[in-house]
Amino acid sequence: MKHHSFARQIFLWLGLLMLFSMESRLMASTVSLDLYVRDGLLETVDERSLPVLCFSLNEFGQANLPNTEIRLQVGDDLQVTLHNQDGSHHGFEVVGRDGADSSVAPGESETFTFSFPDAGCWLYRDPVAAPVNQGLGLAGPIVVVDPSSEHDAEFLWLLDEFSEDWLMTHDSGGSIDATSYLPSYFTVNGLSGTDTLVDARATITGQVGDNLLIHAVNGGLRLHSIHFHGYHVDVLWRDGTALPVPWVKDTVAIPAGGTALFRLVPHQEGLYPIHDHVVQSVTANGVYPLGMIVFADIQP
Amino acid sequence: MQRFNYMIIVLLLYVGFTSAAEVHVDLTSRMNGFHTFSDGTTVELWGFRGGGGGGGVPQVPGPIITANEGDRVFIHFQNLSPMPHTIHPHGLDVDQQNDGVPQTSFEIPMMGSYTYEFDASHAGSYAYHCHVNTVIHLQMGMYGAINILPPDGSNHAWDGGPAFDFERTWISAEIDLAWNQLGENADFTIYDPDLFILNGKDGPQAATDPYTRVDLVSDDTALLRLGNMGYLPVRYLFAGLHAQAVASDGRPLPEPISAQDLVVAPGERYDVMLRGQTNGNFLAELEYLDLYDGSVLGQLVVPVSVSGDPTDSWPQDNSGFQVSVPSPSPFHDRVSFVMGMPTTGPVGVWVHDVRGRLVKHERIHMSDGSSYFWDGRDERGSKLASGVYHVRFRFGESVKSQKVTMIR
Repeated sequence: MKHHSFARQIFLWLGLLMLFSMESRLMASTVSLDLYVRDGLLETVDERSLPVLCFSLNEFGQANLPNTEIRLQVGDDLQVTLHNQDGSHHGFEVVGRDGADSSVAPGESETFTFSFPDAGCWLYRDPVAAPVNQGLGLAGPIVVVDPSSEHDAEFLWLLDEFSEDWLMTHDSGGSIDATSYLPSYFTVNGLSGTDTLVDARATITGQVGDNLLIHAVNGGLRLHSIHFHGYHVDVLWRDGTALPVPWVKDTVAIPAGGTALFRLVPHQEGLYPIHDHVVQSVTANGVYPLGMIVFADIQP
Repeated sequence: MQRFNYMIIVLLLYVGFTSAAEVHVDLTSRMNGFHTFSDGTTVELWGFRGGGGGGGVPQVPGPIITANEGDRVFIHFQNLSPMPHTIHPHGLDVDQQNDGVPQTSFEIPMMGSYTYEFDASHAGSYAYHCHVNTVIHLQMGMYGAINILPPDGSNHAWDGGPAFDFERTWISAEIDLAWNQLGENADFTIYDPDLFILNGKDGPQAATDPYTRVDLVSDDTALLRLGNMGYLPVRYLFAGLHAQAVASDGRPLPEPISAQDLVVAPGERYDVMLRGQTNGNFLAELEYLDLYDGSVLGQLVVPVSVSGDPTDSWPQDNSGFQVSVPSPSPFHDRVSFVMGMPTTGPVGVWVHDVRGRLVKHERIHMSDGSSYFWDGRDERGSKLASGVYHVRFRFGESVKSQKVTMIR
């Protein structure tokens, strides 16, 4: 496919480093985080850099999508201080959790607090000028883990899509017509096509018989219908609620803002794609299969 | 003669048993199809055709592949078209080799062939489709259904699951005419479908299609196998009808859910048990939804008629309903069953062959001690082949089954 730029590899390693450093903070019952709303870039699978808005962990330097994964343990509180470095109002909310209803003016900062009594995954996003700011890139995943959960590995998919028209209109200072949204880039954790294979959070790896947990968060504005090749999965949890008895499915529709937790116990080895069955979303700028697709790589 | 008959029976039982273990299907892919919709629009189609080589055009959807749970399915695939194609058995959790994904296995070139094989491990509703440049090959019509019956081939959603009298497979899709005209050269950045179809037909065509429309005779239960091979979610409405989803993606749901407003997303399948409530003409309505704002982009309605004895006149007491063993058995020309009835009333009769296919269905008013006769013919009056048949009788909620062997 394509070779990653050196800068991009550095970025991936930095991201991993940040994850580990965050892991060490998980003993605390309140996790505090500074997020900066800034201009950033989406580096696409076809080597383009599209102008987006980011929730960045850094006040300075280059900001890129995807936005950081916020990892918490059951019972943690999350304290986010939002620093608005953009020229318009922005905000921070967690879909399905109380805690934020005001917007932050340009140049201002505000702190929001959320509690997470249950394990699962949530979407954080900018609710201001909905759904435009979210569509420009201001969305990310929160994963709340239960330390007593017995599983062999855990994965995360932040599903998203981007309209070049929206991004370019915003970049040139124009006003976006939110009645029409025609995205042409479709990403998992900010990556597309076989690029997702470099992301250890997106590529499902394990062995036959393993207990693998997959968090899926739809940060986009369209429905994605995720189809598993090779396997059925147990749908344990959807949109903030545990299912009393899991549904067993090979295709699961995740609406905009929706979340799901899957358990995969592979019965066979092999390399299988997992992709949106809205097959147009498996394209990047019209090229198949460079869109919303990841792989399960299961060893005997 | 008697001994000779016994030998034939043993042979038939043996054939019946082994034929349930392997299912062989011939499929070819072709790119020379076309279809004219009721507004006069003609589209080009790519798709599958049953049987082996030779001439002909594809069917869209492709032929329904049917097997019993536990069977090994062999799809002998031949690509009779100028482009590479594959068959992806969708939802059947097949091994990597047989998954039909070019990037992880291989594609079948022009004039190439391959036998895809897999286990039908769970009863339920599945699909197959080409996985080469799927964004356009699926859109052009390269899809079909795979329906798996319980191990005994009976009309149940799964082994021990709810019973049905007949089934309909409904596969929704859409056609974007700009994509259809340009094929692999189309602009895939924008999908803007013009035609909203079910089983390859538009609304007026589906209404008269005997394999799509539903005619329920009083207390009949139809199993609707709803599948989505399009790129838009479809919402189903069954006004005035009793519709419950009992399974999805080939697995039973933890408990049945109402199928009113059920949304079937691309790639999903739902099994819905459909029954009438009162006599009349009803409509099953499909709404094709926008992925962004959920608005209805297209609609299609399928007529559902409910006739015969109203459901609410079911006998209150059917506890004494009995059916005798068949006489004679085996039979040659005619077999009879004697009814034991607590009251007089309508009895539904279904005859299935050993593979579970419905060959005859009728409803007769019966009284205590009267006989039901079957002449070994199907609904069109054609003589059926020798073999084992299952005859099912229903009086209200009480169901009795008998097995009978016919020797021509």
